[in-house]
Order: sequence, then C-alpha cells, then structure tokens
Amino acid sequence: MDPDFGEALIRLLPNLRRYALSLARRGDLADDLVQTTVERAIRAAASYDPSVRLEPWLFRITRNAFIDLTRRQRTEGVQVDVFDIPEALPDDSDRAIEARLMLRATQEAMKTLPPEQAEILHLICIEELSYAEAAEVLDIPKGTVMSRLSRARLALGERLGIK
Amino acid sequence: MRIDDETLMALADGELDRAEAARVSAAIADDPEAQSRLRRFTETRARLKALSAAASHPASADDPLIARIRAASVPAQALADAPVQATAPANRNRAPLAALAAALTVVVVGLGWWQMGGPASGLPEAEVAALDSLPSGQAVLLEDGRDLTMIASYRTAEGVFCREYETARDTALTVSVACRDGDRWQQQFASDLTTADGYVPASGDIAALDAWLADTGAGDPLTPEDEAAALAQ
Repeated sequence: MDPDFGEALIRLLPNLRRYALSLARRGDLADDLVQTTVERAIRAAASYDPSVRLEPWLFRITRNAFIDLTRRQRTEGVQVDVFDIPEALPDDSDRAIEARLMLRATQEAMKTLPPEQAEILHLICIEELSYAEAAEVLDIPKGTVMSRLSRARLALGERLGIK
Repeated sequence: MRIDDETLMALADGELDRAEAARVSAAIADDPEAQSRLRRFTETRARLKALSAAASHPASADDPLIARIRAASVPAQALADAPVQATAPANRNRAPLAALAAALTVVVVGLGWWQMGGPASGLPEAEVAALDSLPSGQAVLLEDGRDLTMIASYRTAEGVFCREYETARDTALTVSVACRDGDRWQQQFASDLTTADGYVPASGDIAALDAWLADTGAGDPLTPEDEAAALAQ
C-alpha cells in the first residue's frame, strides 16, 4: 500500500470515527466500524482512484460495514453523542455559554430526526461532501439527495426555531 | 418567478455554478419570502458546521489503527516487486467472491447448510407476512416466539426480488434468503449460524449467503426507496 494513502487514511480517522458514531450511536460499535473500514481500505487500496476524493470512498466502506454490522448487533447499548460538547465553565462569557447551548440544541435536534435525514445532513453539512459525493456514498441518485436533504434541512430548521 | 427550495438550498450549499448562482441571487434580490427560505438553508448549514468544529470524542482507539496502517504502508517499488497474492475473502467484498462462487458452493454444502427447493408453504405465515411488508432494518416478534429481523433486499441478475432475514431464538440464529415467485415466496436457503459455544461469526463468514449473492449476481442491497417500490408491486 502506498504510504501517501496510509497517511491520508490516518488523517481521516477522526472523520471516520465521527461518521461511524453518527451511524452507530454507540462508542464500541463505532470503534468496530472504524477498524473494519481501515482493514477494508488497506485491502482495497489498489482499487482506489486517486482522482476522486478519499472521504466519500471511505465513507462508503464505513456505511457498508455498518449495514453488515447491523446484521449482528441488534441489542440496544448505551447511546453516545457524536460530539463531545464541553460543560460550561464558571468563567465563561455569556456568549460562550450561548454558543455551547446552541451546539447542544443542534445535536439534540439531529437525534430527533429520522436516521436517513440525520445521515444526509451529517455527510453534507458536517463532513462537507458534495451532493454528487453523498449520492455515491448512499447509493442513491443526486435528485434523491437533494429532495431528502432539503426535507431534512427544513425539519432541522423547524426544530431549531429557524424561520 | 418562484425559486424552489432545492434551488435555494443548492445556492446555500455552493452547488450552483457561477452563472446559475448569479441568476438565482438576482431573482430573489427583491423577494423577502425567498430570502427567508434561503436563510433556513444557510442557517441550518452554519449550525451544523459549528457542531463539526466542536471537539470530537478522544480517540484512544486510533493509536493501534495508526500503527496498523503504517505497517501496511510499503513504498510503491516494494509493492511492485512483491508477488501477487490471492487474498482470502474475509469480508463481503463481493467482486473477488464471484470468481470463487463455484468453489464456495461446494465448500458450504460440506459445512451443512441446506437448499430448500420445497413448496412455499414451507414458510410460516408470519414469515411470509414479514417478507411482504417489513422494511429492511426492522424487526418483528413472530407468534412462535422467534425474533425476525429483515436485513436487506436484493435483485438478482435476472431481476428476481429477494430478501435476506434473520430469525433468532435465544442464542440460535438463522440467516435465510427468500425470493418472490409470483405472489409466493421461495426460500433459497436457511443457514444456521449458531455454534456450540454460541459464537456468531462475522458476517463475512456466512459462506452460504456470500455464495448465494455471487451465484445469483445480486448486487448491493436495494435502497429503502427501491425496496419500498418492490414491496408495493
């Protein structure tokens, strides 16, 4: 395997874990998913086309691994948050506290969305994939990405009181 | 002219080319209603972006992974010199399996899965009901106390609609595939995944399933939309 590919993979580990957590919502499952993704990526490195971005290529592996994993793991475990938003500190400014509350509200709102809406929001607005890349990861047409994403955005906006 | 939500969203997401973006921006310049709809898209994106900047969980699990990746990294020249090795299909990467399908079929028979060529009446009604309507990823409790989880739907190369599902009771786990034949379901196989110590193999070890997928040319699982459309037929 090409060392450049390896280093790029290492750089993206935090993104992979974040995406895995957004799918699995359990720390232990997310760790398994990241590990499976790394193993599969190493094995399939030769088939990676360097002219496309690595993120969607890896996310697709992670997502397929998740589909595989859900075959085995049906039990509900302790759910964890994707983002670890720190508690407010006593000397935080009002603005910092407000920003933190806003992050928390966003995270909570994401949890209340149907999984397919939360997933597409995560891929595009958090991992910053293009519509075409998200279509590739999710294996759906770009038109479906747009209609699903627009519904998801409006649903999120509604929950956050964005008019 | 009313600009639709998806176009406004594409503008907010930088998905429009420059000319299109300019055209849409001009069209909504005097349209407070469209601007407020645009704001819902820019605002939701900004809120999620802020979230992504928040600290992620500490990833202590990364260190062994980094070591693993570095160990697998070899300079391109060394790779070119290395002999090509056929790797065992340790997961569900299906392309390499296609070539091995014939061999695998023989092997899995030896491992004790069985072909069900019998009539559809072999399937309990509750399973048929689940096959007819249950979306993948959902589970139901059958009347006989077993737990049925619909795993995925496929189309074979011939276009036959097939569904993979698991039934579980205590630690006993069976993975099955049934295909629609007219208005009946034919079970293709049922493979008992339980071993004496209750160890359940990773999905890549379900040889019967992999062989079936390779044999029938079934591609990736259907998307929820495609599956819903097939179920509605």
